[in-house]
Amino acid sequence: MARAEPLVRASNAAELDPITLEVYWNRLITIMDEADLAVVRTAMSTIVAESRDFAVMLMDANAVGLTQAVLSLAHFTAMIPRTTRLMLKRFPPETLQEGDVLLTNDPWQGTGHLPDLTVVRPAFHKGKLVAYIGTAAHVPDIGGTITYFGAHDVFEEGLRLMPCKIYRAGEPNQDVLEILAANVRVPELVLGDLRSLVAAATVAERQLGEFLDDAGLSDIQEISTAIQDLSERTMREAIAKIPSGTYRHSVLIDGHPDRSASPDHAPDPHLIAVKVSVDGDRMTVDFEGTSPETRNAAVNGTWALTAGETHTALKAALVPDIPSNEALFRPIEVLAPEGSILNCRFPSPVKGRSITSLHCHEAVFGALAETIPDQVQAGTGIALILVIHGQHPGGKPFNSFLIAAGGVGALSQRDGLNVANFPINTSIAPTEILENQVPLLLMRKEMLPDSRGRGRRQGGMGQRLVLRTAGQTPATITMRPNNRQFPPPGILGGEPGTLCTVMLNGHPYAPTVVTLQPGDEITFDLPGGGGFGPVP
Amino acid sequence: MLAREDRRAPTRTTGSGPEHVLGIDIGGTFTDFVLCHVPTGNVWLAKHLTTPDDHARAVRDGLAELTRRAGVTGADLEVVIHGTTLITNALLERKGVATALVATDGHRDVLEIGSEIRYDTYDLHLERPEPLVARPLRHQVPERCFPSGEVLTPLDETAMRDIARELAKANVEAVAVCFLHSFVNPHHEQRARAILNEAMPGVAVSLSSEVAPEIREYPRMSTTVANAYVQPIAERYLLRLHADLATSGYTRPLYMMLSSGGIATHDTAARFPIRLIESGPVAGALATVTLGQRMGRGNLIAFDMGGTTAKASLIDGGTLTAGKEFEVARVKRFKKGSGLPLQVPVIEMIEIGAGGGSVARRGDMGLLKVGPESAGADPGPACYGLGGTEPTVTDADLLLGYLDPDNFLGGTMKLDVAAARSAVEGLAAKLDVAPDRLVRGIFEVVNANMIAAAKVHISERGRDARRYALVAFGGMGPMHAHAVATGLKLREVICPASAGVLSAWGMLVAPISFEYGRSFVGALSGGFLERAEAVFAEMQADGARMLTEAGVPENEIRYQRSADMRYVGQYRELTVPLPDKLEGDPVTAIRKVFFEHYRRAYGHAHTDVEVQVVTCRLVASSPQRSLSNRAVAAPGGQPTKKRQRQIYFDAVGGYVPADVYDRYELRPGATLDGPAVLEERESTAVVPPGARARIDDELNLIIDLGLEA
Repeated sequence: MARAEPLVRASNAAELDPITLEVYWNRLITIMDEADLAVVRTAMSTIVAESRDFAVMLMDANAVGLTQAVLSLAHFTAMIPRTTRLMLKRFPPETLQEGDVLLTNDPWQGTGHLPDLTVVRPAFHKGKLVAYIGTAAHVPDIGGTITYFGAHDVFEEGLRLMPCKIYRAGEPNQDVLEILAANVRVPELVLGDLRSLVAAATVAERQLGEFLDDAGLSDIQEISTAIQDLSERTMREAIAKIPSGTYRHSVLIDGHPDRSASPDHAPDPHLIAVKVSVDGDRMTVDFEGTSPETRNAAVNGTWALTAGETHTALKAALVPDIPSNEALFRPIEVLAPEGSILNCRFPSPVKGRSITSLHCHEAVFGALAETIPDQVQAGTGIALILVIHGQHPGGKPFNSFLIAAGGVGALSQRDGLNVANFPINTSIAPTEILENQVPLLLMRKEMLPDSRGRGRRQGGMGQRLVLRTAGQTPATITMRPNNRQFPPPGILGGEPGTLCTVMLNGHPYAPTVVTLQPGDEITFDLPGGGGFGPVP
Repeated sequence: MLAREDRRAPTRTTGSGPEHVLGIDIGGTFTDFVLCHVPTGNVWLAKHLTTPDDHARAVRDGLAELTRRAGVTGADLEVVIHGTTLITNALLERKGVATALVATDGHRDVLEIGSEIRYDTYDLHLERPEPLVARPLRHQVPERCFPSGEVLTPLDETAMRDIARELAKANVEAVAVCFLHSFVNPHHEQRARAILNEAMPGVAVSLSSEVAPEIREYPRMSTTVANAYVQPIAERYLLRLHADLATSGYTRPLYMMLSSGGIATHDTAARFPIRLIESGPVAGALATVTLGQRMGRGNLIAFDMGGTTAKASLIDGGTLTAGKEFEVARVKRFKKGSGLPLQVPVIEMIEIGAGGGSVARRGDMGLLKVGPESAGADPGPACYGLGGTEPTVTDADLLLGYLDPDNFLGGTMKLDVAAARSAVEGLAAKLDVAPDRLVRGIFEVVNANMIAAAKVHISERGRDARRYALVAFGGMGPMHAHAVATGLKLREVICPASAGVLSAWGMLVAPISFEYGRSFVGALSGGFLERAEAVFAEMQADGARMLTEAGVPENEIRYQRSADMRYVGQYRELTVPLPDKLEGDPVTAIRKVFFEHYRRAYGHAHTDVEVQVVTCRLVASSPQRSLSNRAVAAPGGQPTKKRQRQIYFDAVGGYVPADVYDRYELRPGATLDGPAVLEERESTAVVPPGARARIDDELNLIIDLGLEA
């Protein structure tokens, strides 16, 4: 028996009361979770599939960021909508067709360095452009120098693609794909990851269409408006609870020596300074006084990345439970002096930029610590990133990637987590998997009880990693250590965590690239988190 | 499928040998019993309150009652099959024994560090699960193997002996041993056990190379530790229960329901108790499979909604989806990543915090949230009149007319409509919506939550929801099924007869089986396959031994091989069943099978990339028992309506008069049109307007929702 009438809803969808909005909002989040799973299950590289260095985001027809997958990386989703709007300047919405897919990895339009591909697919429903599906992922290679910090400018860092169409009405743009394949060391992995992002966006577009059919809607604009209004209001209420005023803080972070200076010369540190001004239900975060951009090392951040990191920290502090969306950040203005290390100019080298930007939250939390102590966290031992590569005796290349966490900073009511990341959130490859992929052995992976920053609450423990060659095959490790000069800071009188140390065969090792020869052993001690409050 | 209970005289068996089978399912509230006389299909049911202080007591009582009623003794039982929540509860409540870990030097903290990810990106205050073994009891010993299994550092036996002596002094009751790459070379773990046994005789030792010989040290270690943690408890319980059964005359092995959907002897279960995790819900899913077989349907979603949670599992072509990971004892209920990972063969099942007791409240932003918090049994929903003031799903169901206040639990409990309404009004004021809207909203949101979880689960497997029928059971399942089915665009809902003891029934038909997995990493090549053959042969020999010991004739044992495969460079594997016979070149044939499965799961396959095998798997199983039920009721006329009451339906946007039937009055062949409700003691089935329902020969209710395909 067929129903006489199509399903007619008792509630008028247009009303969007607190019940309908709850149901619709969750549907839109679920769609992103489905897209997220599609990426994890189909991506080719370790860094995307296992370390989860990617994000998916649904934007409305105006490219306003609306929902993201639960595990999407926060700084990515904070940047994708802006990138999308910049892409739409080059490819105006009215010129887009079903099946078009846009791509860029320009650090200044995208997420701040070349290995991050931002892929955007306009989503159509019954011929109408109703949304954009944005994905961003860190692919395993983008050409250029293999070092993290060695480039003098962005040109040395690899291939830069300004916004372009990689699919036109569903047809791959072979010209661009071949340029990409020809400029990276592992084209199978990079193109595989790219295909996986496109597939995820396709899944999301299909699910979105199904949702609109179910709900009897022609687009998501009304839902979008409701989500945005509610989110913005909630953030304003949270800000309004902070007493108005100006709060300042600064942190010193590892510097990088002038390339002409002797390697023994201790480099001058960089300063991240911040002035947080709360005015009623608005907030301005101004990084004035922050160190200038540098050509000594590829550690320069772009403004969008700085804003993304700041937004992530403030969301975690103020409204952790609200599903993330762009409107949450409307009441927050982020400023950074042009030409500073947090708002660098083209063509500054940017590849290792997160070594700088990952400290933004320390400055912001530090500034707010006195006024909202229960909502902030002491400094976290920043993750170590290792890229391991080389050739097996037969000439076959090997390549793997490891992100290892330090200890998380303490909170007012709780010790910091042992061995976890903040503000990024990634997982480490299992030792047994790693050892099957590269000819290295991870001899130790253990917590360091003495690494905790002391305080009323202690920071989380960092960890020790010891790597050696498994046999006669040398392996090159490009590393990105952090906190080598300055440990994760404590907060409100808490003591800092420990420094990150790197030892090669028992001796301190300063460079960031090493080729392990048979018998060599390299040890990384990753910092514990900072403490909270004075030691009782 | 399951006929209603036979109330006639007991059938005394006169043939040769025992002819009855008994299923016992211990759940949180009730322990269910199903006794079946195989030749006639006669069935006896019993339900006893679970005795949490000593589960065996309820088992003894129920066994005594059933055998008396059926006029049999333990000697008349061909087989007794048992499922229990004992293991799940011991882990959830942290009531295992004092356990120690011995790990490869430098790697003892793997148990605590895990994968390093935070399960909630923005929550600064998140809590991680405490490891089952704290650092002082996590020992490490010099030993090391290469990924190939070749030894780099031999086991330091002196150090191992020192550790054993120290553990003996520390009064630990169980030890887990987990060395790196031991799934390739278990020799060091075996030596460690020998040394431990010598120093601390009687202490249970679990080896990772036996409990979960698969790659990825964290889940393997976590699984091995969890196994050790519950092993003495499981062993004591199983021996005791078996002894109890022996006094009733049953001397054959007791069979335990496994999370994989198979059963194993209590001896095997006592060695690998972690394999018993979540076996109760699995039995319900298994019963759904056999229901499908009897009804000639292969594509089903088993949907079990109770007081606090809803569970769902997919059945494709008559087969449950096998998984290889499970998470237990979550710190944050229903939050993936907040629990202890287990590498055990399981039936894939989603569980969400949606049940009759799920509480509705105003969320942070003024939106309506339903669950996962549950009012439980005390105070329970507001309408129970036990002091609950927050509205729950049951309160909404009552106000929507789905529940009859005077006929809840067969009329033994009266529901308080006024209390439900007042709870709803309180929340409605906070949300600034009309109370009527809120009542509908609670129903809508809890259903949306279940639909969303099911959709993600289904699409994660690359399947299309529309192909399935929904089989609803549990106290709330038949009531919410029509809405969940509509949301998933399913055409049909099936509410089995005697759904209350479905799990116990599922055990009776479970095959005796055991699943083996061994990681063995290598690129797919002729040479690799030759070596893999040895791994398969070894697992097959283990399976043959285990099943013949359990009484399965060797020629009846079936073996199904599969392999976890991936593209070289990838980190996630896909489990692909390997055909018994490969056409042509085996490497090409297996690649082809992999591509087919990959394409089905993800929509595309890279046919030019090298493929790698990571884990070889084998299931050894007996044939499934087929129980035929004698239909107890002859086809009869149309049912009589008890009465009518007003029931709300979203599709018509309001309350309409619906016919109310007593489900026990319905006879095979009866048909009825929605809107209607069918009441039975433990649940109420709802037939929406425009739908048509019928009762089949085995008293199952089949609702055709009448949706356009």
